[in-house]
Amino acid sequence: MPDSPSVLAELVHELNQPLTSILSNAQAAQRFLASDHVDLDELREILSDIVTDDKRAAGIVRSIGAMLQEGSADDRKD
Amino acid sequence: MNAIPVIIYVVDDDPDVRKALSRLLRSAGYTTRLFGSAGEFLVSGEARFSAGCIILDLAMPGLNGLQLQEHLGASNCHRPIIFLTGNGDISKSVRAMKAGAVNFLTKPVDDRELLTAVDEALRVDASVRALSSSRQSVSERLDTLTPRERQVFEKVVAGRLNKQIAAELGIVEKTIKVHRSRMMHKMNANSVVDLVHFASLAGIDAWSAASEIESGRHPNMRSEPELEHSNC
Repeated sequence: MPDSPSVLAELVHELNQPLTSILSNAQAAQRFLASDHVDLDELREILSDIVTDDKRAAGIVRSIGAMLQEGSADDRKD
Repeated sequence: MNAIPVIIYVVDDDPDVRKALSRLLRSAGYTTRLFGSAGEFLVSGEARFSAGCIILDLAMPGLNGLQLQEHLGASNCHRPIIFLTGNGDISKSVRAMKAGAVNFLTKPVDDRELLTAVDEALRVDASVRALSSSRQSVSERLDTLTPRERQVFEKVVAGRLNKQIAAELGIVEKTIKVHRSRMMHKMNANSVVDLVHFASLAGIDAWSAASEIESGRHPNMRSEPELEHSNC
């Protein structure tokens, strides 16, 4: 698997994007909740985006896991 | 300056990240504009008419963050840049900071860290704007001087006394006093210290003006247009 370290690095990098969205969305929600006028529609959208980004992150983690398993299977063959 | 809107530009190829960062910034009361690529941001030319700063993803497909920074620098755009990166690449961060980035933050970024960086960037932007507007104002006042008043201005800035100026320009001292007082009034200067300050804002170095007078050369005007004409 000549490409796997770079693909793995790319996946790890990709994982950062949903993690960034989740953190900023959650912290934005906390700050909105602390303000005087809470916009419930906005909060609903934020939660829905957090759910989507969490699933996206989980998908990337699954890909990383699959690659690692493939890698260890290849090692056993050698 | 107070009429110029303050806008935080978010340039990131990931739409979810853009949206989330924008919400965080809005929760702190900022107005944001979002761009999906460096090219899109450059083409918009939006930052030209506003105050604010740019939050820029380092690793974007197409024109990356560092390249966008170079383009903005080359087109005399001095909006401060906060870089966001996934992997905290040291060599790239050093390069970005040397090219004038105000900060370099790692994704995922904590709200306080980002909002503090934005505050700092806006302070930098305000002082750059203030400097640029004082330069503009000095340059406009300099343009109102007659050639004779301009000569007197340069000699006063170079530390010459009225008597010396009179001798050097071959005019009587009484006339020099008249030119000098008109020049001070037009420049809106109360003292020689004010004048020297204005000269430095206009890119006229008092010491080199003095030495050029010694050597019989006319002091050169070095205008510094880069802060006066922001083109981003």
